Amino acid sequence: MALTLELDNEPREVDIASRRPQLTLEVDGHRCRVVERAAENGGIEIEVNGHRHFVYRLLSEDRIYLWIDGQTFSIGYADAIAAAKRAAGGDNDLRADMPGMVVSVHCNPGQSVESGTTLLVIESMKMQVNVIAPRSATVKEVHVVEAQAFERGAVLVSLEPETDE
Amino acid sequence: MFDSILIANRGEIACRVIRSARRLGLRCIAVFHHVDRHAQHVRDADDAIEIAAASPTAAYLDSRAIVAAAQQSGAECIHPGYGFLAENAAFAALVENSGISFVGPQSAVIELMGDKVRAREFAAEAGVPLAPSVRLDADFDAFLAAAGALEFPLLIKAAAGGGGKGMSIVRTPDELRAAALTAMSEAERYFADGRIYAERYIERPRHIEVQVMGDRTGAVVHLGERECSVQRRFQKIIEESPAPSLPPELREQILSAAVELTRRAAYRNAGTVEFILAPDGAFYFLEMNTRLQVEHPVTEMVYGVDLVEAQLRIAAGEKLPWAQSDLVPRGHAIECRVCCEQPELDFRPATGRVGILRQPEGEGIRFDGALYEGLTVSAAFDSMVGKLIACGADRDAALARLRGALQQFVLLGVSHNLDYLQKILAHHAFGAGELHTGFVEEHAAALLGASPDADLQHAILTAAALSIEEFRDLAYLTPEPHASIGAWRN
Amino acid sequence: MTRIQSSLQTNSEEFQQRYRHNRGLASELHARQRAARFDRPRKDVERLQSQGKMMPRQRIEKLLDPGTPFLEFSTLAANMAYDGEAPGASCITGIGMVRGREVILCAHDSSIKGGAWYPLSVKKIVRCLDIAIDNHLPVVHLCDSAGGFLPLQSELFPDKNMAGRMFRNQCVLSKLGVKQLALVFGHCTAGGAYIPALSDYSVIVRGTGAVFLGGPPLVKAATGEIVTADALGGCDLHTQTSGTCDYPADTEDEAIAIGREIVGQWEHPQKWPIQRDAVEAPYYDPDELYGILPDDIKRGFDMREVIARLVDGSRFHEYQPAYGTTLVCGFANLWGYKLGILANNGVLFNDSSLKGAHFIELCNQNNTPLLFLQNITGYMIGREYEARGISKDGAKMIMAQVGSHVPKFTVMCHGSFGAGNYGMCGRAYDGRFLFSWPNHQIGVMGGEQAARTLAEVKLKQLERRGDAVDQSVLDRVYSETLEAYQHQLSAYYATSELWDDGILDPVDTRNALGVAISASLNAPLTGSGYGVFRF
Repeated sequence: MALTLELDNEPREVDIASRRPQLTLEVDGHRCRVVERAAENGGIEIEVNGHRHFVYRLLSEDRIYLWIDGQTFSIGYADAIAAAKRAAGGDNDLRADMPGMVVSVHCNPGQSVESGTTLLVIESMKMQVNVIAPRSATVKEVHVVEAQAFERGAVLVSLEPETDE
Repeated sequence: MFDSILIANRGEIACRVIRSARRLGLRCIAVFHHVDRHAQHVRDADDAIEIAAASPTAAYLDSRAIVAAAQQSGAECIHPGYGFLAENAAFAALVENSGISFVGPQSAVIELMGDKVRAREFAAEAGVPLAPSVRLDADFDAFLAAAGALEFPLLIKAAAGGGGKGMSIVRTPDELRAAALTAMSEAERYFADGRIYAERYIERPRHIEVQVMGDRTGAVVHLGERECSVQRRFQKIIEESPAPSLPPELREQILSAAVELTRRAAYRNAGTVEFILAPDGAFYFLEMNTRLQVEHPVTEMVYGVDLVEAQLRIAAGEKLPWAQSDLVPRGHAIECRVCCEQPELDFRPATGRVGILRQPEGEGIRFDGALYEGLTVSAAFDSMVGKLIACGADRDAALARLRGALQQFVLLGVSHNLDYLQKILAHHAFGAGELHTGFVEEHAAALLGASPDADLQHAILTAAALSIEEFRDLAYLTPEPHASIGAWRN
Repeated sequence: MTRIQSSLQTNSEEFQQRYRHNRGLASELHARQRAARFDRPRKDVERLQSQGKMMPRQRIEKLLDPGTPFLEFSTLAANMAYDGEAPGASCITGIGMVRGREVILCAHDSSIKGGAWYPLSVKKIVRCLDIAIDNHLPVVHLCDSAGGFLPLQSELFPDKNMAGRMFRNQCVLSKLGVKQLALVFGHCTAGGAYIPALSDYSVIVRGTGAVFLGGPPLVKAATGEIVTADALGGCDLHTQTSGTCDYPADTEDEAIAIGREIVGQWEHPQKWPIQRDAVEAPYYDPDELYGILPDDIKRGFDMREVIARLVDGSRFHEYQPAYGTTLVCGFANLWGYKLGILANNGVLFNDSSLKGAHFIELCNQNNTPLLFLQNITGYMIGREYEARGISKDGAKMIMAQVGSHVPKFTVMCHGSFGAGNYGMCGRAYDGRFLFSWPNHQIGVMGGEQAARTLAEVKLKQLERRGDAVDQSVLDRVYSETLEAYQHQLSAYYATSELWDDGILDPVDTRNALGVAISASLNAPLTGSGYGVFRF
């Protein structure tokens, strides 16, 4: 599976073509021969197709900060599972995993919510559970009302699909 | 000389003041809000006192708490830095009345110059040229009429404002009423003083300012002029000394006007008189800043002086360390303000943790900052995190050195404007000294920067991919003979 | 080690003619493999697409580490069975690398009859799990099968090495501590449900993946219950309620990504420390192998020339070079691994049999894996040789070979006839891997010999009955026997029946053995123990 990175809001694919005699990557279909050497001061000298660059890099949760020859770039990345989920569009419907009843509704269509915000409170098997937003999103539709009963698997709230920023 | 000092500020200026104070043997006391508990200025100080407050900035604006901290620590003087309480006359008075020396001008002078309307009147009396302007008294309609009679475009400013805040440009008469009303309510909100005034707005003006210093004997010197024309939304980005291609007579006029104003005010300690220079050579008083400015290092490098040290000496009652004839400028210095912001998102402030930092150093290079690896840059404060200054025998040399220093600067973990600064300095218009306050707007397209070319993109993506451990393992740790056989299928 | 001195005349007429012939055979092999791997009826491809499924080979390519080899077994299994309806026997097996770890991949090919198991499919899957057991290789099952092909159920269900053996092998793997991951892309029906159930880890794709001992039609027939595949045994049921599957995935891509991450958690195997030197490419061009192999099964060639084009630097340390010359024995490196090679240069005599047995013992003593390069028509027969004990000596060679603890690899380079197959580690002798070349033929004896023998038998029969000897009858016996034999002697027939682990283009042999040897090191070495040698 190729690695998908994001540069300038565009997805870019990086794959490994061969390792001997020299590591050769495939970047968006272009062959890139690579040699990495440690350089002074904690930096790295990286030679790509014969061009030498001096690089520092810092890995953060979903970004790679890269300094290369005096310029700074920020590259987005997601691990393969997250990337596969994102590519598929993810699941925008929040479903009940047990039959129950709606106790209270705390969101409206069109509302922007932060990840972790309680959207509904439901009761199931004598337990009250908060249905929370799995990610920052805009609420598309609320399918239930207070005191409404629902079956297992019923869609309670739909979110707008995730868009790239 | 004092034996101790409390710095009522944070960030790079606090560290910079501590540097000079320590060199003079003073015990340094810092104040900080909880979010700043790991800040560099706290680490640099000998003692640090936490100030509890509703918000981070509120801590540095809490006059009483700061004075109490000074008393508690036995500090003999307080340096206010710039921003926060630096131009707060009440604070200066409170400090002095508490028996602590305020490292700055007299409270009354701060008050005078802080009121832009009063300051303009004072400047007029001092014979300093002023741009035609109209002040709002009680009669709003009379103000509108008089303002409307000035040559458009106009600049509407808050009387109690400063530092570029609370200003707006009005291009046509029909915009005037709405702009004035907005300006009044903003002034009320930000400065607790709704008074506004309107001036003729000079197109393509240059921002020229003069560093002045006075002592208790009434002696005043100037330390030359600075050009601060490269600005964005009235916030300075790049400053330099001397101002390029300034005709000597004009320069003399500006310097004399600044000195005259300062003398008339019996100004003590450091200050800066700011002017607008029109393309036709006319110059007009803008305001006087009764504090040390952000861009003071360029003056220090050209004149070979330590302004903070001079401030401390004057505050301690000494006379000016130099006569005017002692102050001989040599060469040229340029400063750029390093900010944690995202130029591509309209310069929105950025936060993050400084993961990798390589500050440039070398001959003629100075970096005043408060950064270290592991520091979290918070959104609570101004986005400026430091200043990079370079000097040289002439402007070209200083510019080349500054560009080289920027090229070496590594800051990873939080967005910054270093690449943007490089583009400004690389622009031919900057190199030619074609400066005016609309510089960044005029060249906005060029400064936005092109996408990297294909080869560079490949290098970027390659380097980025190899920083991911899983990908690295795939690239380098594939065992033999599989790595050598490669993508073979039978 | 000294380099083999080649005396091959690459400019000779013989070389050129053989070269053309064998290049032709290789091209034919590649064409047939390509068809078996990729030619599918459009409706089957469209059906998979409409189900939102990837082609099974796409799943494999995404699962494997980029830029690494995939050694596929028995691509042409069932090529001469079932009227060609089940190319590759509807499954894809082989050794690949996932997250730096060698694994056996076993994928059902749902682009053929929904991935249903024919008798040879079961045999191929059992074989790949046997390989996993022998070599202690973790297994990734890519499940997507309609279950057993019911019209042929009697050939795939009841016997010892039929369907049940797949699940028995899974248990044995587990008992050995060898890990298994099941990626459920489609149905795991009836016995197939045991694949994820017996795997250590399982991932199931929502909507298309399902696991049930009885599918919806069977359930309806048995109890009248009407239920969809998803409700009966889909992702949510098994990952939330029954716990039969471990990880839900919304898409096949996600399932593969999860699978890779699971394998990434597995500890790196401890491989036994075979002697390894720096790798050297063969000094002589492997391409020349095409010019060495005769176009006639009865003609011989010098195996040293073959060895010279397989091993590192073409270097070979020959053992007993002057004795038993019809069996070439010696040490060489292949991809850096030290190997003991036994290769036929003629029939096996007493001396060559004894030499072989002794050399096998030396390799076991030295923990050196054995590579058998077969081109054997048998042992020398005749009264003189019987008197000298050829049967005993042949037996001793077999005894030594079977008692070996080191991994054994076999390549059928040309003929493999009769008892010679046995001593040289034929299929029945638990070699870790057995490959053949396109020119290979295998049988109890050669076609012409068999035809002559049967014609002779017929003649004797007619003479005994006192019937007139009709030459045309004899001729017919001869030609029919020959034709039947030709059909069943060919490498393609052998590979169809899974008598080998695949036909290799001779120039691919070096890479195949490199991957194979590396894989074999995952199983710890045990000790040798030979039975009784009849001296």
